Amino acid sequence: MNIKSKTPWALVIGTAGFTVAGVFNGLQTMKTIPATKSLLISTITGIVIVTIVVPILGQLVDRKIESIMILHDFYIVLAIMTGAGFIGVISFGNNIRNQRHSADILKYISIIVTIAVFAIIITGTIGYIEYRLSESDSAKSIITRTFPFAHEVMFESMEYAGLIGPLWATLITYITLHYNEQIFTNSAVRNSLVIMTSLAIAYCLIISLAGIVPTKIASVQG
Amino acid sequence: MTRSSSASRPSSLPPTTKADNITKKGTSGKIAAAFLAVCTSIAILGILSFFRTQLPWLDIYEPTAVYGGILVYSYVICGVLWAGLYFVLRHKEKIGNLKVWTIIFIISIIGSTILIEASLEWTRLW
Repeated sequence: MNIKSKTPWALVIGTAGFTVAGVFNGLQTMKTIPATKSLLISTITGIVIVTIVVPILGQLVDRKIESIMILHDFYIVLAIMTGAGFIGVISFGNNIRNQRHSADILKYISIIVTIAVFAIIITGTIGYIEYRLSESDSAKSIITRTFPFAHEVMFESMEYAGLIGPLWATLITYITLHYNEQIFTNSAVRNSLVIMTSLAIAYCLIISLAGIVPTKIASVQG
Repeated sequence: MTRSSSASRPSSLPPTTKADNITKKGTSGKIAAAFLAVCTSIAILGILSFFRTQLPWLDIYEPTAVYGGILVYSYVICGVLWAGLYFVLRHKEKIGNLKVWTIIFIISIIGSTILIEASLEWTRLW
């Protein structure tokens, strides 16, 4: 089966997945499920669909590693955006009536971020295996020949410094789960979480930039 | 001459809450265990990254080279340390406070990042 004949099937599978998820979420919302749970269900359904559909599409068009790297980028964006949302909820969700609700959202967000950060490492490791093949046309070989700094410093920085991420996210999640609603009444906990999360987002952005540069070298792009 | 806390507290301020008391008491042993395990693992991650060329046992899976070893060892150490410290410290009511633990955590991140960057070939830039 050639690529042209596979692509429509991939589109059908993707569209069907999104339709099923949309109908499911619509029905759940109509059953007056609390907004927090509805948000959680929608987010997780979307993440699961993307996680399943993108590799299938990649498999169908014979672009396996590219699809894994698209997922890698997706998880990075997801982690950064949900991290920013986490700070937003801590900062503006301390209304006395909504504290329990906000605490629930914080728990869900922190768990999603932690899963996303672990997924970044897993997909990144898969990409790294492909990247560092000893063949002369592997990405590492090309970068080392054309712009060694991009590999020796930028890419290596991303790989090793990026390993800190899951530990960081797990700690933030544990603190969130441990203190629960006290996050909104205890300023020490709130400040600590805001500082740790803000630094994590900044760190993630810098590391992502270090990783983007090597992959943007024209000769590496297939 | 000492004064009681109630005497020194202006009457216009709201009464202390349970959460305020927790802040004054410090962090529990469970939180301390989490911080200790994560900070130690981050420091170990930095040290392993710095010495990676001299540690052949880090090469546990050929396709990932030493990267795989650093990943596995630092995460396993974190898990084991966290579990061990949790059981040892879980009944402790006060070990440091959150501000101090946050500072220690940031120091471990900075230290580990410096070690990682110091092991790279920055001379490639010039």
